[in-house]
Amino acid sequence: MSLLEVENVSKVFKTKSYQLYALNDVSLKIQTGESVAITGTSDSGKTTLLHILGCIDTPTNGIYRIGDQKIHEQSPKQLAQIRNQNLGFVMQDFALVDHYSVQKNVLLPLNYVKNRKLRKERAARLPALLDKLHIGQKQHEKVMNLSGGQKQRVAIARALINEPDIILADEPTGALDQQTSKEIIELLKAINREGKTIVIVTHDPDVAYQCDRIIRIEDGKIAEDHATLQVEV
Amino acid sequence: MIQLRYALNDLWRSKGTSFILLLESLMLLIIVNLVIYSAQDMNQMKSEINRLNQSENIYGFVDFTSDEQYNKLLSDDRYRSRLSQLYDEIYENDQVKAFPLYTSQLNFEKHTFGDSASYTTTEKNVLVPFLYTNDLFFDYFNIGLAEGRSFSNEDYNEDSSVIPVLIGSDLAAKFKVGDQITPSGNTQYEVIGVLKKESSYIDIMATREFQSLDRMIVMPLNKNNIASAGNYSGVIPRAYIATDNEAHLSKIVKRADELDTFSFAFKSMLYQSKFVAQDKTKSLQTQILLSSLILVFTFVTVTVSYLQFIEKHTYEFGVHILSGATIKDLMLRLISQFALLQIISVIIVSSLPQPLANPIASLGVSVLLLFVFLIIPLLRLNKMPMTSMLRGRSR
Repeated sequence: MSLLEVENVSKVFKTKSYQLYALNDVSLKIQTGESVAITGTSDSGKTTLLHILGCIDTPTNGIYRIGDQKIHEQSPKQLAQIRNQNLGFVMQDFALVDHYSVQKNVLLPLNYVKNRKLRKERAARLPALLDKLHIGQKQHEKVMNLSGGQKQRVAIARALINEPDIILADEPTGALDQQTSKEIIELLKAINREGKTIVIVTHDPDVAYQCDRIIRIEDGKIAEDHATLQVEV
Repeated sequence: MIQLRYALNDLWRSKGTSFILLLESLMLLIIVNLVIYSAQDMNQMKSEINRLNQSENIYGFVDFTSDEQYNKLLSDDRYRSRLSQLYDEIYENDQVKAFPLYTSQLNFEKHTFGDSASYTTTEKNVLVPFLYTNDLFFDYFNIGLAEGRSFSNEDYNEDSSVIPVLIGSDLAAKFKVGDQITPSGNTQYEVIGVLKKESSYIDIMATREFQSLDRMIVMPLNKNNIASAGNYSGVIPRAYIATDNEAHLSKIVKRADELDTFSFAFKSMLYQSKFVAQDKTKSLQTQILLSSLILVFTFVTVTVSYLQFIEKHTYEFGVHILSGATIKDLMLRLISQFALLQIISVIIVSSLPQPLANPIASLGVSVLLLFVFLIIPLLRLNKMPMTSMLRGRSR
């Protein structure tokens, strides 16, 4: 069974005078442990697809499954639990709360974990996780005082704190310089090697070619879906 | 619980706005409590006046006596016998029934009286109000005793060196039945009974308010005591007279004039009560208008403040949504903020003196405000697409 399965999904934005197909009859399957790049021009529908995969938007038509859970049949509360337990997000503008400390930002998903024991266990992993991402010294600093690269590392730490199976990244290097971008992509690849499934939305071919597979979206449809040749150096 | 913590944090982070909203909530609760009190007071007064006027008409004097004439009555001994005659005309008259509502104060020395927080005080003295009256007063206002005995015929007529008194329930903490009381001066008093708690009367011709007897001393209307204390000029104008024949009242007024004492007219309590009711209604209307204005003002402020809060925190809300929050969680955070302000307001208002404190009404109003005032911000939050929240930073 695929980890993520999208079947004939459309997303239509309607206004009084016209309707716009952000996604038009899209179908795809992503297996556990895959790293997938979703590419395309601006307004091609790639971010809409990521929002649907991330359960923060719902398709107008079609079926979406994570494992055996039919996402389109879940209540808002269940969707929130899926976002909390199964998904980790890394966004272009980091999606961090500037006035929170690094620790508070990273531990944020744990506030929505119902199981107290689990919450405690995962919170205990915080120092090791921050050390692994080379931001252990910054634990108590306000996020607003960090560099772009450090902020993205905090976002990755937050995405990992609840040990989700899937990491969704929307232009994760979009706001970073070349060197930092490289470091962040290496981090994401390392996370993928540990068995996490990674879906990256990017318009940067260099980033896309680091993934196992590239899906190109054009006018809301899948124009291309192919594997990349990975060369180990 | 976590949303409550975020709410506390939010209140602390925007201390200025929180303080203004708290002040507005306080003002609103106070004015609403005042309206409730006034409405209750008016209804209570109306029903009490109706009850009092049920059996026969009660009249009071309208006093036109000049200050100059009062000075004469108080200082010139020649008037004493005339006042005595007029006193008899009112209180010893078989054709009418009368009781006075004359109050004054007994001076107690501070160090002997003890806790005087509820009383008027001077540098050295505590002033305890007392009332001269008779059995009619107890009958009209349904005032009963919690312990001891009521005044006897002897108490009203005999010239005794120790004056028997009844005390209000609050004073029972200081004095017991049988205790001798010696305020400043030579007169001795003996406690013969304690009035029931929350005993009160309404003096419609004077203060127009219910007067609590809980902290008062009640003395028998005894002519000997009145004469020796020179209190004729107090108890005569403050007489309430029950009669079905106004001719008797005209006779008393005429007699006062003939004796060159007071210039009186008389007015029925029923007639007076219409004006009192009108005044109370006007005052109530003003309070309702004021509270409506504050209500609208607070509604606008709360709505604008919370809409601004949502606008300012949209991106943060988006981050919470990504992390597993639902829109309901965010709504709970907003409700918790306002609920905390309301709880603080209710606690503060409940600690205020009566009639501003009404914990049950305050709580009821707060719950109502919580639901009504947050409607627009909550709808706004509910309608906000999750996908647009993370665009908040660039807006």
